[in-house]
Amino acid sequence: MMWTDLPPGLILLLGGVLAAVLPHHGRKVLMLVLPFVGFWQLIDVPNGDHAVMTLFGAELVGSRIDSLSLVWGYIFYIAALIAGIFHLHVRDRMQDVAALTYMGSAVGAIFAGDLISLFIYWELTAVTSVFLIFANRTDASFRAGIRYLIVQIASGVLLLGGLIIHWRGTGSVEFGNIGLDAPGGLLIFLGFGIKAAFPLLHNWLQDSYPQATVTGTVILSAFTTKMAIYTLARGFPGQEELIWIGVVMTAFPIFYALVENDLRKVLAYSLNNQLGFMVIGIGIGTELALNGAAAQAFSHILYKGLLFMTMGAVLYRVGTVKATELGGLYKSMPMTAGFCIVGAASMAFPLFSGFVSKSLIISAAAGEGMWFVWAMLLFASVGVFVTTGIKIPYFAFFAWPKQTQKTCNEAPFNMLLAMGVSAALCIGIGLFPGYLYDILPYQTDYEPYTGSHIVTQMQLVLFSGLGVAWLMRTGLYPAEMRSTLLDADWIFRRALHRVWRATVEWGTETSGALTGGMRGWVNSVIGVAGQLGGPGGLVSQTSKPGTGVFWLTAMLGLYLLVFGL
Amino acid sequence: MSASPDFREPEKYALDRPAVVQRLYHVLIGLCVLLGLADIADMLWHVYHKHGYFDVEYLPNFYGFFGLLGCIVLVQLSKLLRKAVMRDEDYYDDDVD
Repeated sequence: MMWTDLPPGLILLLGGVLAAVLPHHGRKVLMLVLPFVGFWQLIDVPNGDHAVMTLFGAELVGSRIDSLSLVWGYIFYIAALIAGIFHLHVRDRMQDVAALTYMGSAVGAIFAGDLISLFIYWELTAVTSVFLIFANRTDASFRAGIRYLIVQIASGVLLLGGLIIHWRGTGSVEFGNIGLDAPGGLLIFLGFGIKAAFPLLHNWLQDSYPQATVTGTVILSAFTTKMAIYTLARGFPGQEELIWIGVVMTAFPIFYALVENDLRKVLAYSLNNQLGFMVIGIGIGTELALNGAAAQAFSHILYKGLLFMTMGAVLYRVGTVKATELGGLYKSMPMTAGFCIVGAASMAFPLFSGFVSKSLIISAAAGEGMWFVWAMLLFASVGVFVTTGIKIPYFAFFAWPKQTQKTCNEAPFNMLLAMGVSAALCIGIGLFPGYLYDILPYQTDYEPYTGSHIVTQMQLVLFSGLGVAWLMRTGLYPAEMRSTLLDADWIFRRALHRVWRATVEWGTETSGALTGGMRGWVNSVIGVAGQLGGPGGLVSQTSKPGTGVFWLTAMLGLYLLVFGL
Repeated sequence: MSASPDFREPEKYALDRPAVVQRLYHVLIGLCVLLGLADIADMLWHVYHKHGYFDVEYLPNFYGFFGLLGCIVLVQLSKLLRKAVMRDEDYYDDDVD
C-alpha cells in the first residue's frame, strides 16, 4: 500500500534530504542505489492513479503511472544512475544534495497527475538545480546562477498564474490535455515554453549550462528541458503553433553552435536544436509523431549526456573547453575521444540511437505532407551533425597539430565507466530499436532500417561531412575565435539596462533630482497598483482563490512529507 | 599531468602525417561517389527500392546534394551571423557595477 502510493519523485528527493547529513560514502551509495529502487518501483507498481487525495475540493494525484510518463520515468532513472557514476569522485556535499533533490523533483514532476503537484515539483527543480551552478564557486557562475534562477522562477510563476485561472475556469486541476484555448492555457504554455527553451525564451540554457560544474552540466542537461518536453506532450499534443516554434528552434541554434568557441556552450545550442525536433513532433500530434518525440527525448538524454560527459572530462583534465585552446587530445585521452565519437555518431548514423528516434519525427512530418517542415528537419539534421557531430570531436580531440604528444592523463575510471555505459546504450538502442519502440506511448510497427532510409540518410550525412572537409581545406570554414556571441540575453543584460538608465537621466533632468527617475517609476507603479488592488479593482476580485492556492501549496508540502514517511 | 618519461616522437601518430589525412579525405570522397552511384543504380535496376514522400526525393542523390548544399549555406550564413553578434570575450565582464 505504502509502496504503491509513494509518489516516485520522493525516492530521490528524500534521499537528497538524507544526503545532507550523511558522510561522503553514504551519499555516494545513495546516488548509486536509489535509481535502482526508483526503477524497480516503476516496474512493480501497476499503471493508474495512485496517492490520490482531495484537498479544498481539488483532486490531487501524487503518482500517475501511464505509458507516457513511464518513458520519461525510465530514462530519468537511467540518467540519474549514469550521473551518479560520473559524479562518484566529487567530494562536495552541496552538489550531492543538489543533484539528488533536483533529479527527484524532475521525476516527481513527470508523475504528477495534477497541476498543483506539478507546480511544486516544477519550482523545486529550479531552486535545487541552481546549486549545481553555484557549486562552481566562481563569481561568473554565481551571477549566471542568479540569472538562471530568475528565469526558472518566472516560468513557475507563469505556471502558477495559469493554474489558478485554469482552476477557476474549469473547476479542475487535473493535468491532462489543456490546449491553448482553455482558461489559463496560454500562461501554462509559456511557463512550459521557458523551460523547453522556446526561441527568445531559450537563452538561460546557453547562459548557465557552461557555467555549472563538470558533473553539474551533465546532470542539468538531462532533466529540466526534457521535463518541459514531457509537460508539452501531456498538455498540448497536436497544438499546431508548436510545429512552427519547433522549426525555429531547430534552425537558429545551429548557426550559433557553428561559431561558438566554448564547446559546452556549443552542446547547449545543439541541445536546443534537438528540443526543436521533439517540439515539432508534439505539434504534429499524430501517434507516430508523439512516439517520435518520446523516443527522441529518450535517446537524446543518452547521447547528449554522453557528449557533455566527454567535454566534462576534458574540462576536468585540461581546465578548459575552449576550441581555441584544444586540439590533438586523442593522444592523451583516447578512450574519451572514442566515446565522444560514439556520442557524435549517435546523432546521425545508422546503428546508433538518434537514427532510430529522429526518423520517427521526420517520417511523421513527411507523412502529413508538410514539405516545409520536412525540409527544415533535414536541414537541422545536417546542421546538428556539422556543428556537433563533427565540430565537438574534431576541435577537442583532433584539430592537429596543436599537440604533438601526450600532455595529460586519461579521464578517471568512474568517468570512463559512465561514458561507457551511455555509449553502450546508444549503440544498443541503435542495434535493437524494438526495445525502445516497445515502451513508447503508442504501439508502432515502424521499421527504421529500410534500404531506402539507410542510403538516403548516409548520403545526407557523408555529403555534409564532405562539405565540411572541403570548406576546411579551402580555408572557407570560419576559424575558432575567442569571443562572446550576443544572443537574446543581450536584451535583458544591455538593452533594457540602457533604457532604464536613459529613463532615470531623462527623469532627473525634467523633474529635478528629487522627483525624477526612480521616483517617477515607483509612483506610477504605486498608482496603478492602487487602481488595480483598490475597491472594485481587478486584482482584489481574484484574491480569494489566490489565498486558497497558497494554503493548498502549504498543505501539499505537508501531504508529501506525510505520504513519504 | 607531467610529460611522460618516454618522449613520443610526433610521427608516432599516423594522423599527424598530412599524407594520411589526405588519404582519409579521398576515402570520404570515394564513399560519397559510391552513395551517389547507388541512387543511379536504383533508378535503373531498383537496387534498394528508394521510398519517398515527395517527388524531389527521387532525384538522383537528392539527399547528398541537400547535405552538401545545406552545409555550405550553414557555414556561410554563420559567418554573416558572427559579423553581427560577435563581441570581445570580456564583453559582459563589466556587469559588476
